[in-house]
Amino acid sequence: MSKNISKLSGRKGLKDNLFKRMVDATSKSKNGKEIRQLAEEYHVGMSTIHGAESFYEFLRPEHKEKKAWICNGSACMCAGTQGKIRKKLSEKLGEDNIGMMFCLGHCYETNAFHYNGHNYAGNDIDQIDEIIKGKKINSKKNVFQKFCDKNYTYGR
Amino acid sequence: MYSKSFATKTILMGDDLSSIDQFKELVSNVLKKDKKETLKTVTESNLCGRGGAGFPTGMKWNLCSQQKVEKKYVVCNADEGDSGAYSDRYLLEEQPLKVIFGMLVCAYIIGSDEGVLYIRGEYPKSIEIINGAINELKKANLLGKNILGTNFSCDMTICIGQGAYICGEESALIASIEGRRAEVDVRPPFPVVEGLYKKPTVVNNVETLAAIPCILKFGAKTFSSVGNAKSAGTKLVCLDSLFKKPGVYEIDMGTPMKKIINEIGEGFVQPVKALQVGGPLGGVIPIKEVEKLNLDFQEFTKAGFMLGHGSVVSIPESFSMVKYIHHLFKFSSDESCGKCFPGRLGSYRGKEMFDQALNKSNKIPIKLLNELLVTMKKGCLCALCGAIPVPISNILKYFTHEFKDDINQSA
Ligand SMILES: Cc1cc2nc3c(=O)[nH]c(=O)nc-3n(C[C@H](O)[C@H](O)[C@H](O)COP(=O)(O)O)c2cc1C
Ligand code: FES
Repeated sequence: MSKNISKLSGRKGLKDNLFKRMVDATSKSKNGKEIRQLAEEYHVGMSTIHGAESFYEFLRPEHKEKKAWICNGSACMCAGTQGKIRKKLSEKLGEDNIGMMFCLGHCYETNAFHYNGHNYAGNDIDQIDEIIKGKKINSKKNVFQKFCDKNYTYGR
Repeated sequence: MYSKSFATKTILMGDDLSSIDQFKELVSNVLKKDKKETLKTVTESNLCGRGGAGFPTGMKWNLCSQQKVEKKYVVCNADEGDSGAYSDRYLLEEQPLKVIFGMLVCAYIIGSDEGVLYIRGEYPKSIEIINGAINELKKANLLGKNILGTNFSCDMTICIGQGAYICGEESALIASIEGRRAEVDVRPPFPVVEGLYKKPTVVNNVETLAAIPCILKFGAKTFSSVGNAKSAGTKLVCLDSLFKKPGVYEIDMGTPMKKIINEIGEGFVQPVKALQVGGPLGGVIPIKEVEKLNLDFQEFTKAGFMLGHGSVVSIPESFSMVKYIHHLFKFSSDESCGKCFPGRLGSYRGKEMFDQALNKSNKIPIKLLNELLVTMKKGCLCALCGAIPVPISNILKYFTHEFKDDINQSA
């Protein structure tokens, strides 16, 4: 079964990648329609796309409803920083709007959380008001970030 | 992020490949050389995969190059999910050209014209930087059609992970790129024979690929002469925030752990009783035991632990080991791909035992727990649920005193 799906997905390959299309489709508002179109385009059943899409944490509605995510990794847990971060984020964004993500790769400073597409850690929580207002903290940019056009497919 | 090399010869952290011009020079050298010669250098360097399984990289590339199929793929595994690890993130963000160069050389040797980096969605900055680097390399004709006027073409793209730890396992990673549920597959066939879209594929870790440029620049011997044949070269090691000097360090294989902890990391900010080395599936090692070891894959395995990807998480004296085991079982029950029975169900049953121990509604049925650990170790399809018994057994062995009030000896 999966061999067949691999090959069907492989007809379009990386250039029109099914995984990326699926991620896009689940973030569109008319979710059901987009997924049906995708299934037809790739010649697979609706259940194949739904089955795949429901596997991934970030694509689930419960995940998307959250506004900020606290790091759930072992280093943040052992350093005991999660409680403080949860308290501060809950005060600002509401307790129900806080989710968890696994290790954000800031284990050297812990206190890690994710908000609006960026990771924060260390003392960043002290600037939570600025972060929520959209002010860029940690604004030092790597040379290559300048050339990123947010479209990850063959630079189109 | 604090980073520093303590290596005799720096391979990963130097600025040997930080500009497009340097990239061009190194690529044109490779394209002028016989492919076999380049492959020989990679093989003779004794570079082994840094993603955990430690398969010899030269051999993997050679197996894939022998496949008589027109279409092949190179996949960079940048799904670094181990908590405590941020070495791949360091490389993706600070050394992006080394990673992409490693992929390009692999593509050239195996005869592939397409590569993909699977980067976890938790690393937004890494995604931006790699994307920017790919765009710049395309502009300079160092990626894309007819690279530097030769008949070698190679394109690269990025897939962004969507929050599933299991996608780091190579067969689940391939399933994910294909748009399937990220379930682990039975092998053989291995990806070098039947990988992405059922085509021969090399899957390599970020750190493995990033070592390629300096291995080619300085020669195989420079790398192979450090450490020993099975654990050769340098390795990135990540120290967490409970070290006085946390950061990512490039260290010679074979370096005593005692030196890494006390000199490089400068000891701890508070009393620490054990380290978990190699992510959630790695061993939990009491400080006294870890000080007997050297940075060496085989030594760790022989002692009942796992060096894995080289991350180090410190467990403070004050942190309950009952809680730590609960954390590990919860992790595997949340992240299990669900395909194999002992993994899917066993992780949950284990979590349940420790839920009950923590809320004092039941004691831990120790016989049942030991049977569960053996079943998971022997019966699971992959090392997520199959290796989680390692740290749990380590804790039960070395920290028995912490459980004495929570254990039911007769169940
Ligand atoms: C549960 C599990 C998780 C894994 N996670 C990763 C990972 O995050 N990154 C990685 O490179 N390899 C990971 N691996 C190992 C890969 O399956 C594979 O061996 C590796 O990517 C091959 O590259 P290498 O030869 O360069 O090490 C994981 C394996 C298992 C069983
Ligand atoms: S464990 Fe929190 S950033 Fe790694």
